Amino acid sequence: MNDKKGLKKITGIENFGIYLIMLAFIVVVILIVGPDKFLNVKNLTSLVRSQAVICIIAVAATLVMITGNIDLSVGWMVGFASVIAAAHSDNAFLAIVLPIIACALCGALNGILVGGLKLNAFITTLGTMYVFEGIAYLYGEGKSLSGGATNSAILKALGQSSILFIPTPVWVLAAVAVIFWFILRKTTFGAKIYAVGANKTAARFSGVSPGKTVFLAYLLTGCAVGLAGSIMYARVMSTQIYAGSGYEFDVLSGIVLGGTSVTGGKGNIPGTVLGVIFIGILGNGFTLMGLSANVQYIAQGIILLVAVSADIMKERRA
Amino acid sequence: MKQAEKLPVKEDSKVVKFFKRNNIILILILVYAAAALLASPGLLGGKKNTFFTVSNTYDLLTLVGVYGILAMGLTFVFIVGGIDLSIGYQVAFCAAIFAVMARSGVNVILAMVITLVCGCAVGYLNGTIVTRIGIPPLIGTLAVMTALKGIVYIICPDSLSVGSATLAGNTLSAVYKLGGAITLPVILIVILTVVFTIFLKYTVTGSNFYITGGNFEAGMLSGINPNRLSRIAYTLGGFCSALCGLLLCFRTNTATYNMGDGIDITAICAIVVGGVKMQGGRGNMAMCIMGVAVIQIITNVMNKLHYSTAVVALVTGIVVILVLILDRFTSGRDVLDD
Amino acid sequence: MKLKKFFALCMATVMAFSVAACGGSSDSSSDSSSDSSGAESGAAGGGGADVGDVDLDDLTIAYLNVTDSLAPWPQYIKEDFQAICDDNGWTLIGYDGQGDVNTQTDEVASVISDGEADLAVLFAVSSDSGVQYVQDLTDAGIPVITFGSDVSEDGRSNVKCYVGVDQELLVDLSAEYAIENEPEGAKYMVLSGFEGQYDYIARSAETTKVFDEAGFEMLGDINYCGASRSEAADFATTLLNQYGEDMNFIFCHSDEFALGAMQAVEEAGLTGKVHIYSMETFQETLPYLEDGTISSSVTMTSQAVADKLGEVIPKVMSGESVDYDQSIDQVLVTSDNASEYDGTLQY
Repeated sequence: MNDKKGLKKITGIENFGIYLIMLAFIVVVILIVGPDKFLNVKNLTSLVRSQAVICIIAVAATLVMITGNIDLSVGWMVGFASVIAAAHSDNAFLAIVLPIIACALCGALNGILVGGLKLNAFITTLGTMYVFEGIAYLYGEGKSLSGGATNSAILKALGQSSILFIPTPVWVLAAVAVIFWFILRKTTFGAKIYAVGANKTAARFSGVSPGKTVFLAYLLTGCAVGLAGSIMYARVMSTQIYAGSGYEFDVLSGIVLGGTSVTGGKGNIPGTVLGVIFIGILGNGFTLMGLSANVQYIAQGIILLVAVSADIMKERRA
Repeated sequence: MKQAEKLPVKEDSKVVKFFKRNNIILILILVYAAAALLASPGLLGGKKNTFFTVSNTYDLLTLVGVYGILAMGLTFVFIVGGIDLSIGYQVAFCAAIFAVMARSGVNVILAMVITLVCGCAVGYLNGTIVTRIGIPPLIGTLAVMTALKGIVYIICPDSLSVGSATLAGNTLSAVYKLGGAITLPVILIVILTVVFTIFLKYTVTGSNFYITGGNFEAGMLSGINPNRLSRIAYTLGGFCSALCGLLLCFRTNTATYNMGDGIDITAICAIVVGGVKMQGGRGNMAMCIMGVAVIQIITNVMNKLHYSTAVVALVTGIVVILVLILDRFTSGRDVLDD
Repeated sequence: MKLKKFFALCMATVMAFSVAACGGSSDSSSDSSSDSSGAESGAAGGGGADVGDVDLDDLTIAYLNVTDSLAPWPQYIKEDFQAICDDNGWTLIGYDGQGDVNTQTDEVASVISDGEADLAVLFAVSSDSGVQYVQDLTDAGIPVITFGSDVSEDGRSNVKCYVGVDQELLVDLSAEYAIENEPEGAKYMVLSGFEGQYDYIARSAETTKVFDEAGFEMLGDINYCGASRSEAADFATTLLNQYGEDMNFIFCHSDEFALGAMQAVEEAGLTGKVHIYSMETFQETLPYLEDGTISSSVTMTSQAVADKLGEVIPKVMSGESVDYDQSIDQVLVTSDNASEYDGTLQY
């Protein structure tokens, strides 16, 4: 009991029911595929690596979700970032910093509109999604989207090398997750995010500016998306402008599976990481079982429903 | 306090008030005028104006008809304070099952009825998930969307032709164009606008939609059953999606796996531009249609001027955001302080 | 309330006025639809609308592309064809179908109502809805040439000719090479493109058929990677982890995925043990084809399609009869002939 409380305190995870359902599915996969094939280091690391980009985005977007808002523009934003990285693939510094700056600006735009002007987050980020789509295409046209011989070695290392048998993108993901976990759990800014999400009016009375907090959450999300874009490009040194379209829903599913509430005030980083990786396990498991992606979509939908309703049932009883 | 004293002095005139509440009318006129102007030769247009013509006006009406029907379903869902992310795949799903039935020789009328029932069933499922289990609509319909996507890909791996299916001796695409330039969706949307407007305004169920969306607790207290009303709204949404799916299937005799991709997001943006509130409690069919018209006019005129998809997306996004900002500053103080 | 009704009335008047005001300038579509009655041209070529008196130097072509941005191949055909149009003084009006059937349907309606085009070249998003498109265009008196992907058989009588690739041949060439080189009962995995897109569906069906006949065993299901090289790498990594050296080869439906598979094979340390067979030769893969890292690919050049279009359009527009099938040459590329293609490919 004490252990659990301790774990709760550190991670911020409040509800373990959702994870039990995920665990049940994983057991099924293991039983069908065989433990040696699923539970080997190679498979697990490649599985996490394949989800690294989405996971980095989801970790950051969790902040936005906890403030009670949502960011649907991340999909096109990450595509935009990867195209910028591709255009500067000969210079690792530019290929990493420029996407971050560009996406920070995109995030800031979202932040000003949602935080500053208090527009509805859902619709606003749908609007900015169109805007970023347009910008990405206008920028990307005529640019080479695979670097070829001119790729910088550092960039290649970022996407393709391994450190201590673990792929570099996974290390980056770990670092980003720790940073965001720290921001959320150990800083006053983190406390403000929870406060704004739980009760905006109360937060305002206690001296927290909801607008500023929401703005910063979007800005940080933008930065993380930029980094994710560089990694996405560096993974295979090739990208497409629309490569991230549809990511917004994967990100949203992952965050929700991780126990973050869409109405705000509740959520945590480790949960999000687990949620996104779980979606990866689904894909990986279905590929190993030789089932088509169609069945995976159906399963993903049902699991999302079951997991969230289990969560709600438990809350109701409590 | 100072502000409170000033307020009564600054009483808006009737006209200003009306436009503050219905700024979509101004937006529509502006966008249409701007489109007609931009498309005229000499400005940005080419050799001749291809936007401001009779045949294109009919094209525009058809577009508003097809996509407007989908948006109308979503308007119901918005009014009760919900959201439905799955409408796009509902469209694809309904089109696919219709095509499967039609090509295998099922009577077309029967197939249409079954399709509409299926659409209603999916809508009802959404409503049940949201109201009975209590999953937030965003997540519940996202889950349904994901599952429907899988089902659509299984039923319809790429595209399905309706084969030799005919309705009263005409091929389906001929039925679609039976009225000549006034196509089937235009006729349908006129009828539906009237029916739905009467429903929302003059029936108890319809007017209670606004109470459900506006204030859930008040609704509970006043003795209506907001959950039941929400389910009705989602079911109507499903019905409209099925109808849209049928129309899309009719016009090319084909259902494709990605028939619903993107039109869901466009519908959401369109009705928000029209002034339907996502928070619920506000909106009507006129707003919905005008919103759809604005978005379709923008897309249409940009295409006529041969701008790339990128520019169209950019302009659409900017318009959506500008309308939101405009709405922010013209709506009442109660909304400002949420 | 009064105000509302007043404005509704105003709107209606404005709309009605606008329709009336521009009445004179339009209606070209209804005029031209009448002269399409004698649409049969029979002969060796396809049918479709009759070609009127068109000045070949002042040709306006409606170019209905499947997508301008989602896949490189149609994108480059458009670029190459644009160059040909510029050389001939033809006006090209481009339409971007965005890979979406609704968008393309709207665009076909737009081409018809504009009435500017003398000819439509169509890369249909869906071969089934394509039947309706060519019907509508022919009814409006606009002759149609299809390219890239053909419309279903019902619609071919409305098409002058088809310039494009033979999806089956594309698979057959590479698959036959694989069957020659792999042992009996070889095990393979498949990396394909967009789920639901007709060309990849056709390639998948042919792949399964050919290898089933050869007695090969497919590992897993067909893996759809969109257009993403990294997704291809991820799928390949997953299955390589599972089967390792048991897998004999990876069959890719585009070089985009072959490049991803190559990286996965390299990371798994199985280069040379797990072979890669592919199609849609890229400039980027030529060095790997030369040194045998990728065993084979099949050419499917955008330039060839564009050239062929440029070749048949004058013939079609001058009323000459052309063969319906104008497929481009598709050649198997292996280490033997890879160097010949260096510099001739677009991407």
